Amino acid sequence: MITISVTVSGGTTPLPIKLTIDNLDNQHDVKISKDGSFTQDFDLPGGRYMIVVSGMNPLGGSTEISVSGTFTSGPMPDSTSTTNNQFYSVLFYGEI
Amino acid sequence: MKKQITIVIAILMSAGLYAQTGKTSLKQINENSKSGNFKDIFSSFYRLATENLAGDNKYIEINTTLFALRSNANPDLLKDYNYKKAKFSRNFKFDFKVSLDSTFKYSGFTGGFTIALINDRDKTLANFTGTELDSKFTTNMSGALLTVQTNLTTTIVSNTTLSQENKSVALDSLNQAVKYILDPGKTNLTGSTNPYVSQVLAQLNPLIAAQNSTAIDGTPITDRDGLIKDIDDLQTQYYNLFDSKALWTVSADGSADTDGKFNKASFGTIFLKGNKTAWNEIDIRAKLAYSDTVATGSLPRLNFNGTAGINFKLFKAEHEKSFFEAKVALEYSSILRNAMATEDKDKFLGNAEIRIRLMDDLWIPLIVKYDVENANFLGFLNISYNFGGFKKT
Repeated sequence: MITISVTVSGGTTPLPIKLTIDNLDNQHDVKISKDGSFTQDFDLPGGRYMIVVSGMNPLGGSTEISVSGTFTSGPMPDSTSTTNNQFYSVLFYGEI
Repeated sequence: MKKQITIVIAILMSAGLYAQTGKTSLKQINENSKSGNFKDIFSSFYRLATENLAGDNKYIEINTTLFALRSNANPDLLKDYNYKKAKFSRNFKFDFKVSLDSTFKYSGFTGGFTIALINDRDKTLANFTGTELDSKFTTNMSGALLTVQTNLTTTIVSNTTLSQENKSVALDSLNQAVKYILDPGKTNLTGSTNPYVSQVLAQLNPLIAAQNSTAIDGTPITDRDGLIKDIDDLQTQYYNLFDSKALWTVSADGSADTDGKFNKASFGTIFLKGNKTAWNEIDIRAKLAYSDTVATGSLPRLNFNGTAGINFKLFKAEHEKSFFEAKVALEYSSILRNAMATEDKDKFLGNAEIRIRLMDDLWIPLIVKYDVENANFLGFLNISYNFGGFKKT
């Protein structure tokens, strides 16, 4: 099981936060849209996964994304990323 | 009393100066798009005036919101679910001003607060879900980027010649390239030393061209540059709409003399509401002021002043920043208590105020008043500097 946590600070997100968990070896992908901060667990079968979180920060605000869980490899390049860019699309890679 | 005031000011100054280390890139867009009229009332979290510190009459002033102080103590308040709930503290602004003489000895104190009862201009709570911006960013840009990210990630992690560490470095470079590409301020991407910038663009641009979309000015979008510019134009346009929304504030302030005795107080209210394109703005103000400053014994006076007018923004340039503003208003003032024999108890004025923006936060206002009853003109030049808004990130 893996846990993905997204925390928006300094306001509310102007656009929905999009989460994609892409199994690189098949089409069994997960796509979720959220209106604000969230923490959610995912029980995924073994495989290679790319996780992408994209969205828009509140004016002057920031978003912190963290990925954790029972990975056999990763998450790469880091388990946590904080962005204050107006628009973002941050990827993580891990093997379960 | 004086000692207590000094201690309070010192604490507030420390908190305020610490808090001013926040990041400002997005805030600057916000600040630039505001009118001088709005800035004077409620836009700044901090206004630290250091005017005249070298002269005989010095003063130190702090101007902040309750939220800025609370979030310094508890950064969790900045998280969106807490931020939304903290409506009162985000809209409660207060200020203190301590005057000092030539030897830096206390010579007076002023304090007050402002509450925004209606503040529809808070851009940090913007929601653009379902708009064209949502479509252009979420579907067109992020959707295409996701395809490219999948392709390049698969290539990196499938490369058996790369160590785990090098794969991690490559994925980090890919993230940096995407960050660069999503920055509307980056217009010349060919100079990037990150090899993934060109690799992402090589795949991204054909995907964007295949979308056959058009920008808000009707021009076809054929690549990343066109799409990110359109996204930037849309977000600027949407944020500018906030500048014309309703703002209603009530405020109170008081001041003390050199002995620490309060001798002035006032209560006021301001209402602003512009049209959708923010080219003009209704401006209504009222103030009830009490003062006891007449030198010849105690003669407390009570004054009422009300104005109703329209503020016009003219000569707006890129990012809708106005460079010239004009305000016309009718003013009524009345001395409700202890009018002097030589004074008019009631006065009607026709006012005109012109503001010229010299720099982002530097305005020169020229105010001309016409006394309707006595047919007199009174004009004076006033220069003010707004140090800009602050919000901790």
